[in-house]
Amino acid sequence: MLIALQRVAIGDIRFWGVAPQIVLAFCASAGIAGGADRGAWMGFVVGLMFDLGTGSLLGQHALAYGLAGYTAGLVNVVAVDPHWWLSMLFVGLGSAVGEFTVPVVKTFVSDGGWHGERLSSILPVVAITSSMLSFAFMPLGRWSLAIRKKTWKAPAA
Amino acid sequence: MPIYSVSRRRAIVLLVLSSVLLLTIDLRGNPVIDGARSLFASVLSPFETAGRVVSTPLRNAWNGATSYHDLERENERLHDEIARQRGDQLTARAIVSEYQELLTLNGLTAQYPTVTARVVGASPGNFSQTVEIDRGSNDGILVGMVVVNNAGLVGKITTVYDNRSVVMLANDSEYAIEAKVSAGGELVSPSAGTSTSVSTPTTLNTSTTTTAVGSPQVGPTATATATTTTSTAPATTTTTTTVAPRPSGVTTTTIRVDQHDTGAFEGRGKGRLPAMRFVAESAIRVGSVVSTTGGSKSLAPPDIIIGEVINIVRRAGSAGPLLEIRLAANLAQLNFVQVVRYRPPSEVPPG
Repeated sequence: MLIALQRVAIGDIRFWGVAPQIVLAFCASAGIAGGADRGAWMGFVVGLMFDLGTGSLLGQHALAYGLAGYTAGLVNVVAVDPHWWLSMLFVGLGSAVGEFTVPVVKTFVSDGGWHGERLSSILPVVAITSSMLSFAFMPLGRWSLAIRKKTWKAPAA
Repeated sequence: MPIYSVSRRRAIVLLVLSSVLLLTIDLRGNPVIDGARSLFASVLSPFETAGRVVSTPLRNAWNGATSYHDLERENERLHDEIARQRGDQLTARAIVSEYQELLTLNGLTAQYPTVTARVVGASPGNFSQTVEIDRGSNDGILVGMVVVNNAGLVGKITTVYDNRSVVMLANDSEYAIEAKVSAGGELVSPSAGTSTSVSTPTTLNTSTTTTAVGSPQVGPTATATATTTTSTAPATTTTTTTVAPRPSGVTTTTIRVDQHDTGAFEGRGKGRLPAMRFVAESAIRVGSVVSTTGGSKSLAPPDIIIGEVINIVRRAGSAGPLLEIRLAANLAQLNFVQVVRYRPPSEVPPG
């Protein structure tokens, strides 16, 4: 459903010419919810579906989204129970890493050229929009990975 | 789990290797992957339809909020442009009609079937310039076919599914096509003995040209009349051209003496003007028209308008000038496009 939305709707809603990446935000949020490993695999599988759905080279977005989930999950362990704003920051960071990977892979596999001059506007917009979307996507990521939210119980006296 | 562990490292290495393997297989072309892609597109189709229905009010609201001032400015600009182009239009109609007539006289007319399609999706990513259209292989569309609109070249088909296709736009950094640029030249005014009359449009998408050419060899009273009906022009033009027989037995008509340089037209990504390279140093000037070259192996038929030269970057050495091109088609606002079902002669099976 997210892939379909990205294709038919989000492509038209642009901030300074940059489309938010909701599928990428979901993968990074899944990394926060489930940790680096599960985030990586979730990103890989969702990225494969994205590649199949958009006609891009198979593996291109799988690698990028996998890295996004992995990065978000990896940096999330710096705090035992990170604040909401820290989680937002990590989702933004993971999304930026994922989005940066796309032109890198494109440069390696094709003659598409390097989009260096546009990255300075693309990465901040994607990171900020992903951070904002993380409010909705972290519960969704937890649900899709069948993870219960952590609850802390006081030790019995 | 600690940040660095053998199992975690193994997992990420496996993930990267899997991606590289899939990329390699897909780059080489694999029917299994193509089949999976087609199957997934079919599965995704109902979700896209639902998403489109649900998101239409949201998109409209967004466009209304963000594009209002742009639309207002563009509206004013377009009013000015319409006023300026109204005068040019009549002249252009006459020239186009004469050109078509000359092609007819020389047996050079070529009509290519087209499929009209609606643009239903924008580029989902930020690094490729593509759109999705609602026609696919069921309508005879093949990978590589050229996509145009009323203004000119839009792009080419890169992926085809049963009922939809992906179009790589001409400003994508991977887009390239052989092109020619008019190097200027004199436009010879109509010679004596040629009369041209242009009438106002009466029927949409129909152009009728009636030509009467005197044939001195057969006799001054004998005339050959040719009537052709074409559907290429967006507006209708009815032109009657009469070339009077010459005493010498030679029929003279209007001739455009244009020189052309060929080169490679390439997109350079969003935010950068497409460019044309490998053009010989010549009398190319700002405003020269760029169009497709055609040829036995080119996927595009000849003479599709691409755009005009708006900047010439002189380069040292033998690299030749770099021409920056403004596309004739507005790729930011595409609603309906036409897929030209043209196959180059080298790919058409004999017989």
